[in-house]
Amino acid sequence: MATTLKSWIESRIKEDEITKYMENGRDFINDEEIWEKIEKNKNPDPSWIREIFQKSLEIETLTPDETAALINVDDPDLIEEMKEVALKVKLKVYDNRIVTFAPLYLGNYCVNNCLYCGFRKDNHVIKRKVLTEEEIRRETEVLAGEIGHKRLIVVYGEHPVMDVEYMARSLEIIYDVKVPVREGYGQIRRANVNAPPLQIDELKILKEVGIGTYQVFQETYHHDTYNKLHPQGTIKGNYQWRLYCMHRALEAGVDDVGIGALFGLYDWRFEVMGLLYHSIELEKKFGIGPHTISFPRLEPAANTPFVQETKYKVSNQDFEKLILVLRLAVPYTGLILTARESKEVRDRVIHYGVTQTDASTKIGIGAYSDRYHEQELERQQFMIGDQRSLDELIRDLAKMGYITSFCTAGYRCGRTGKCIMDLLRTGKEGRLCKLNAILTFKEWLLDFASSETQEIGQMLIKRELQEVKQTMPHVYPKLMEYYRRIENGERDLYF
Amino acid sequence: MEKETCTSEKLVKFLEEIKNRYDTGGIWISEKMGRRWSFYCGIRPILLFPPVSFSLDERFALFCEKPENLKKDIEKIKPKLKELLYEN
Ligand code: SF4
Repeated sequence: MATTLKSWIESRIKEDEITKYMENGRDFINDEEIWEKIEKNKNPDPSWIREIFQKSLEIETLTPDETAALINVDDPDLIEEMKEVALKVKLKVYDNRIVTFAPLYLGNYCVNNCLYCGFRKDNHVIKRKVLTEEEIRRETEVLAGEIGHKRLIVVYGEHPVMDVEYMARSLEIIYDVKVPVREGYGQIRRANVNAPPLQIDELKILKEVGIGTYQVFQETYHHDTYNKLHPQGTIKGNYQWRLYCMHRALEAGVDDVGIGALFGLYDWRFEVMGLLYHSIELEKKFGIGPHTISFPRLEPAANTPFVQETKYKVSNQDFEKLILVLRLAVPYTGLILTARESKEVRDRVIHYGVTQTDASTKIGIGAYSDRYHEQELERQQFMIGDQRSLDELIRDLAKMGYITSFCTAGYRCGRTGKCIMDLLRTGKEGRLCKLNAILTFKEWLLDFASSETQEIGQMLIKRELQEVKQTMPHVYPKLMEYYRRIENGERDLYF
Repeated sequence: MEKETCTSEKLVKFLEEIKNRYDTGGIWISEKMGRRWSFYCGIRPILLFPPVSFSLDERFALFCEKPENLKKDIEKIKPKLKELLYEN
């Protein structure tokens, strides 16, 4: 048992849990090759680009050359076409549903010293805190009982006060909370986890308690930049320990893994290619790609001048393009857009194939139950750009024709991992999504919505029911039976 | 390193037989993980009907889309299923 901070840090990295996955002593990110591909595919022929669009529409992962070609598309007309194709791909795989979630930060202790992060250990202006069991319960009660969230992304720092036992216990507490609400009850049905890279045995522990997606961002895939931003001697200073954490997760039996990059640390084109190579590697080795890809942009953080100084800030125009390219390059994956972005940006890019987003977001430690509304940089990792409540976001999405889904049906019957990947690729999951979105959206309207959102939401449901009647007549009677039962107070009915 | 938890061809073949004999649609085995279920092996959903489950033991359950015909024989089938599961 590691007793001191130093020995705990020294015990974290298991070299054999890195090297076993490497080929000829190299990892799967070849910096020179990525730049070569970006350079080689400049000024791509529009007819080739249209062939690539077709491949994405067949829900096939693109090759690095094809992805590099998309990155190099500059013609405004072709970019407009790309937007249309991105939305079509998304509708084919996920239909018109958007999944919502909230981040829940359990602490801000960290042993690392990432130059761009407000929580780095040498940043003494930060007020450090880790939530107790009682505080975790209170936060969850607000999230599930007052706001109406069913999914969380639970965020942990890399520090012995938030070790794997703490993680497992906190997940048990979160899943235990059940709050009576207007007509039914509020409960978290899926707790995804954003955590440091873990060891295989630790990942098995999280699997046992029913972790949702295990999410770790590489931050930057560029080796030199990574080494500059993550001081050597820290755990995070080890690029490969982080790069191979999804291999360890899949080997441990975790069903769904989420990857991501923090855009603004290095050239966005390189990071998109890195995410693609990561997806291809997981598909090749495990027959299953990332369940989600995240693409947060660097945001201001307390006492962190790096953020102002970086030369790789991603403009809105490039941000839009990188989402389009990711949507087409890895067509089956979920794309997560967060409330770091402003309402204006979110309203625009949601149509480019985004599948998940957060709302009523607070990222200060204990901020949901403390009920403070001001953003305090000393308590949070960065500033958030869109403070819309879940009710407002759902209403805005419904006005745009998107139905908010609280579906966690996959976890109720085991449509997970490779099973769900196949369903996504064949478009079957999209149809199941539609049915479950209607049912869970109805539950939410009854239990949490304001009267204005209920009215707009009900109109959307009417249209959705009509569509199911026409496109899936064989399941329509069952859908209506479940719908009525939900109106009469039953909950958690699913396809 | 395929991420298919179960590699028993015999088990999948037996599930295929059940599917054909009882017209079950998709039929698969899931493993309990805390409060949730994780895909173990079998034939993925086909009909998109709500899945119905039959508990096999504390760890595993059988899910299928059309249980009507299977219901009457499920108790007879369970021992063979469990035998194949734990042989894996
Ligand atoms: S980015 Fe993560 S690991 Fe790095 S200092 Fe911040 S909290 Fe710690």
